[in-house]
Amino acid sequence: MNRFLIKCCLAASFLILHVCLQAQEFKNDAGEKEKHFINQVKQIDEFFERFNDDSNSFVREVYKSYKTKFKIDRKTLIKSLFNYEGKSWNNVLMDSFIKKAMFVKMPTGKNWYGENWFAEANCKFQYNSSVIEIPVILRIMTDEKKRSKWVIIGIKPSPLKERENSRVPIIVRKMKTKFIDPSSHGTNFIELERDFNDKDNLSDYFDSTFFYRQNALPFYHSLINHKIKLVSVKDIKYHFLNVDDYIFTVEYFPRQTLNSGWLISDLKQSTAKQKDIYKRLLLGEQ
Amino acid sequence: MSSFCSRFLIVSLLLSHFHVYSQDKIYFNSGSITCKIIDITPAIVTYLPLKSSKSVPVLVNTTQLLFNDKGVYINPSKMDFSFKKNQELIKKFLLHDSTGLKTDYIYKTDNNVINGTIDKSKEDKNFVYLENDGTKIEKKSIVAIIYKNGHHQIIGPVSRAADVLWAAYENDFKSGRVANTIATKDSVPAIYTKTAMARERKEITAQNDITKKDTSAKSEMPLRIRDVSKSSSFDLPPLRKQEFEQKANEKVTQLTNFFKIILTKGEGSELINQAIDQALSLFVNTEATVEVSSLNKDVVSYKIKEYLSHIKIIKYERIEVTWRNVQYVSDLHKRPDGNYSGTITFEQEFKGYRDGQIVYSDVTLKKAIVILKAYEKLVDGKAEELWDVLLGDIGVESTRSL
Repeated sequence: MNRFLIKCCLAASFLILHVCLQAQEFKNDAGEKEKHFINQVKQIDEFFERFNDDSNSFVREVYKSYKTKFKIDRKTLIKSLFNYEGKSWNNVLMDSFIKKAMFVKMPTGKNWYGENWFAEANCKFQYNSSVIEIPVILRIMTDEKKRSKWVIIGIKPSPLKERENSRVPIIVRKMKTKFIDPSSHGTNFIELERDFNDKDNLSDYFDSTFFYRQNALPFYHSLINHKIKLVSVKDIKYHFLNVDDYIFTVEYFPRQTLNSGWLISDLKQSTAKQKDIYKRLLLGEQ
Repeated sequence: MSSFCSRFLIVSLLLSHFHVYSQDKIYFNSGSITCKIIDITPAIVTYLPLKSSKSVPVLVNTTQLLFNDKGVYINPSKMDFSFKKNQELIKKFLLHDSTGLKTDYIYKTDNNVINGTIDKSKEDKNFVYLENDGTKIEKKSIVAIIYKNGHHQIIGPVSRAADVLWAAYENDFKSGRVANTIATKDSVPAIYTKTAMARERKEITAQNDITKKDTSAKSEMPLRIRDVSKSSSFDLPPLRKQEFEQKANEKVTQLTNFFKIILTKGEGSELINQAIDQALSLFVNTEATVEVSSLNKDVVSYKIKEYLSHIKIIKYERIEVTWRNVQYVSDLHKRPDGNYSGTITFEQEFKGYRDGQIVYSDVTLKKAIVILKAYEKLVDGKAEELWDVLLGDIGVESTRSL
């Protein structure tokens, strides 16, 4: 590895990230590959680290290992978390968002909670002889002992219809023994295939509020009656409603440029009422 | 040891000069090989055969003893890799970080160790003589000799020598001298010194110490998993991120080493099946999912057991798996069962060779869930809380050509 190259690039890369990312191309040598790996936002956890400018973030550790002073401020870090390819941003909107975002701490470590952010796992299911896509909405649930898990909280509209047996009562256990791992977002929820096949404990993976939502029962009954089978999770989108007056989404951009990985794909101003409507739509309540 | 080997040893003794080794040496359950040992993990020992640059992995549990050319020996199949001292010892063993021994050491069947300088001019077929005091030691009571120049000799069955050498090692470990075994000039490879030898002459054989040692060894119970969810004091991650990262990396490296064995043409089916079993033991359970991608196909997911059976039939003459220098390890999240989980993200290059040519190569971005699980180990009747990292699901983010 060319340490000198990496060191020089580190010093410059973040500072120039938000202005000239489109021009950066991937070169197939070890130093470039490492530089790409360092700059890429590899996990949503890393997105949070950078957003918060955490003192022990991966990027700060890398700088430390190369004995390079970390001079990047939080504002620049947040700017580097936008997707700049194929998208032009309104600078005024972006700056006003960043001002608000500076007051927000994204959930990390012990404070891994999820009141105002959601994961949308776009799942491909085998249904009859075809494959259909159903967006499954998950959120982090944390108890008083700071033990957390992902739970399925809603389903976006799907072609699944109410069936006769959907009147059969659903038993939801108070003492849940099964759970979706709080880190499973790291592997794009591949464990959902296993969870959806666990028919005996299926309700454990769902939030109790799920069953009162509009699209919930046809989906749940289709799962438990083997009418649908998860093929794969196609992609993930995160929805954040935790910055005052704004809603933004984060998606994965797998490309060989420095501006890659988990990045802000959309940003809009939003009142409290608009946020409420957005949330209802997301959870399939309207 | 085979009768051929036994005869060879007898013949070599009769020929009066010891057969010695200046290279590293691995003693297996049957046979041995002179080589250069390049890596030791809890599951795999990797070595370079003489005059070859192709590394060969072997399962730790097929080995009895490892010697380096400084006369330092270890038995990784009996070592607890969670002890820092053992980790240091392995590092020093691999680096040949030793200033050498001051005397020769003679290991006896009765677990005693005698040190001094062997007088080669007096040596005969039945006895070894020490310089100065003229002590003579019957050859049939010797299981191993380590010379101050770093050479060594194993006499009789390797398993017997391994037991005696290991007992000496454990004594050093318990007395806190293991780190010194390699590091300092005043080091001794075993607990007994000249003083002990004098005691032995007086027929005080230190049996008490040995008995004590045996008792404590027996009190080391098998590991058991603790239900951590019932612990009220279990609120903070027990390991710092760095330690977790190190342990997570170790597990992923071990898994890669097992894959190498399973995928390499010419490995025996017994070794492959052992590698599969050991690979499975790295996972939290056999239900863990592994995503597999290649340049020509979409991502496919398998249960780990199914996947390992599947790759048994894919054979390369040689494979190279290269890691990037950095990995991203996420924060730990506490799970409802009280254990912790996080994700490790890394890039890996894969090259598969047939007939000396690369027939497949790619670079993949992998993301593995790692689970930090508590267990208790009873040592000398006391419960110690220890932590292990187990692998969960492994996803593939992207695959591209090299």
